[in-house]
Amino acid sequence: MKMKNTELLVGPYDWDPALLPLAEFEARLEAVRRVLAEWGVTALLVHGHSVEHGALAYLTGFTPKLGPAFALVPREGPLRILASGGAGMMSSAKLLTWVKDVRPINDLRNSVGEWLAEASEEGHAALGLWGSNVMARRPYQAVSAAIQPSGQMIELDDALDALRRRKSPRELQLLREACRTLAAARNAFERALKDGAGARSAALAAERAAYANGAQDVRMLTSARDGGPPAPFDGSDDACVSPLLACLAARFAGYWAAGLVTIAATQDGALAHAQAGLAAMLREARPGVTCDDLLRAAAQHLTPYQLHPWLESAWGDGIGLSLEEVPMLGRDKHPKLEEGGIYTLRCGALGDGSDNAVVSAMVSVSQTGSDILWSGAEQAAS
Amino acid sequence: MAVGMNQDDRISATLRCMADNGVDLLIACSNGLHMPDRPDPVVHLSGYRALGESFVLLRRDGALSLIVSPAADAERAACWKGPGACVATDDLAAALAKDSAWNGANTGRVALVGVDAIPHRLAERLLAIRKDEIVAFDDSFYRACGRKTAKEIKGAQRAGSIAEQGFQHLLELAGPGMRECDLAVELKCYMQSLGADDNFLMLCASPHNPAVMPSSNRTIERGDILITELTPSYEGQFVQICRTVSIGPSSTVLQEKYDLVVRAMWAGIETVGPGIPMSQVCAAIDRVLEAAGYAEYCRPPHMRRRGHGLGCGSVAPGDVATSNNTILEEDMIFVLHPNQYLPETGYLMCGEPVRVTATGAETLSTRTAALASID
Repeated sequence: MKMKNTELLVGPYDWDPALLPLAEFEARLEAVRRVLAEWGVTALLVHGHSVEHGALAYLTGFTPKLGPAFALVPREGPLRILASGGAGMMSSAKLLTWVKDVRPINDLRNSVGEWLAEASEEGHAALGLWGSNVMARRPYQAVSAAIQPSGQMIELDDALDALRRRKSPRELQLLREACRTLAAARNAFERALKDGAGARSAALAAERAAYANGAQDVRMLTSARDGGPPAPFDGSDDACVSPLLACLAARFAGYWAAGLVTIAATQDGALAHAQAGLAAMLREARPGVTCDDLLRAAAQHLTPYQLHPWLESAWGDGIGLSLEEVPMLGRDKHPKLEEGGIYTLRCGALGDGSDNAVVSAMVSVSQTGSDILWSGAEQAAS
Repeated sequence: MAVGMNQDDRISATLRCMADNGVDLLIACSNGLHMPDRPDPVVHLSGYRALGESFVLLRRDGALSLIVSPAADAERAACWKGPGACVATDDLAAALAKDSAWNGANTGRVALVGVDAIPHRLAERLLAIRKDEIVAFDDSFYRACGRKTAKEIKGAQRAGSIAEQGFQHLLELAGPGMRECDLAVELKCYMQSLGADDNFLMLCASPHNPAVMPSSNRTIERGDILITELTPSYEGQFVQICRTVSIGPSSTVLQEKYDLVVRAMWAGIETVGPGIPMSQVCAAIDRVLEAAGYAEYCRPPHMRRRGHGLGCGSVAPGDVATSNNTILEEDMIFVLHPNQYLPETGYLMCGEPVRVTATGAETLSTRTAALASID
């Protein structure tokens, strides 16, 4: 789900070894280096920026707050992080990661070039790239210029993203915590609406509740009209809207929980159909189930409603260090749920006028089925 | 009082610039990040802040179309009150290839703005659609019209008021024992409650700050100097104020040095006026600090700029820097902040948002920077 980004991340982001111990990162680094060896690359450059930095956070814990950041990963030896900001700002950047060597980017081409010269003794480098799909053209050109005199670039997004699909027990624990903050946000949101608050005020109540429960970042979209699709706040309007369709996301220790809820006066109509569709998807969710199987299960419960168009391009995806992780259900070709994967599954019904609803759940897929981590189809706790 | 131009005036100025440069089709590209000190040509031309990447196509005859992502934003896109059509899509390059403005200008000269800031794969697809020359047009584009519209000026005034109320809240709330990040979160939420739609909020504290930094988990202590820049946005228009707070009584040396940077700031503000190059504004600030013996701290690595334009559309007139010779025009808005590292005190922050008026400058803040202290 694409959501309005937060301009500058202000929550608690310093690396906390009690939440994510060094051993977790060492295991990830070892797995990444195995992939580098398989592909025959000399070194890896991992990119992230303030909005999307899942790959960078996976390997280093680093969250770029001010602009792009890069991790330089040799086949052996210590990592280096190049971060946006001046030399005077690196003391706070160093708190975000277990990596000791954190430096300002300065001139990206020169900084990458110098490091590559150190990393590749033969002078010929094959540089793997991870997170390059979201890299802007200007830094991409700088990296290309640094590598091209003597080497080549190999995009490893697919090979390395695969490592992030199956969550470790520690990651599952953090995702459960993220879901707990999401539940607190949803409860505060629904309570505020029931108390007569407008959508904007209710969203702020939800945001405060999530932060009070340890969230690092909170994002929300809500209906701008009765039954309208979730959308960002464009002005200062604080209208009371019903039914209200909302998309909430909260992040804990780097991990996202996100979901859709519909707050309506009654549980019938589109909402009942959307809930039934989601329940059918959840019953199907287990390893090997295809995207088509899930959609078919939901569709049986939507008639006479249509699938909500807000979900047409993706009615589910992986979730973790990024809000949207592979597979994108409905967008990627023939994706299947995998054991160890964490997914959001969404269903929505479009009726006449304001009779519309969207709901979702987050699930952890185990060997035999799935475990619901959070569901927007359930009533909020009082 | 808000004066300003309107969006049609801005588009007319852009069309004149295109005609002067022989450009038949302008493609403005946005990465959807909407940062306060980075330009966004799509917001500049359309006022639309997309959730993802977006394009504006402006043809020489004035036909304009807006293509935004993602497709899920279709209802909001349909409500856009601009001069042309708006399409929401998950495949921007394909939508661009189908666009009538694009096809109508298929034999003319195409200019691009903002292409370096969008994801490289999308940029490559965009550049590959057309085999003939595409010219980079960023400098001419922003020079053509750096003034804020009446709506943006009104937004800036409101954002300025929110920033000041935010700072007042900080003074009531901050103190030893509180984590920087918890204070920053509370300030962000408080300014949202006043109508801010986002905030670029830097805040840190230490007995000797090397620079301003994003908030960390560090606990604020007595004896710290807390520095902050509060940058709320109201309806997409950012405004920034920069402030310094002593946690505990302030020392004489801190007060003296803060008075110095405040004097430097006013020297800059008093230089601002239409027809003045921005370099002169920065030089006026530098002169005060140089006269006090801090010449080496007026240059890199200690100093890069003493303020900047405020988006999220155009960030004209650009950085407050001696290398920036942009001529100031009425209704340009920028933040002027000496924000100086001094060896005796560390980094000190003071800065005000200013609007260029017919006769000089007005600050968009009512209580300008003065050293504050929290006991």
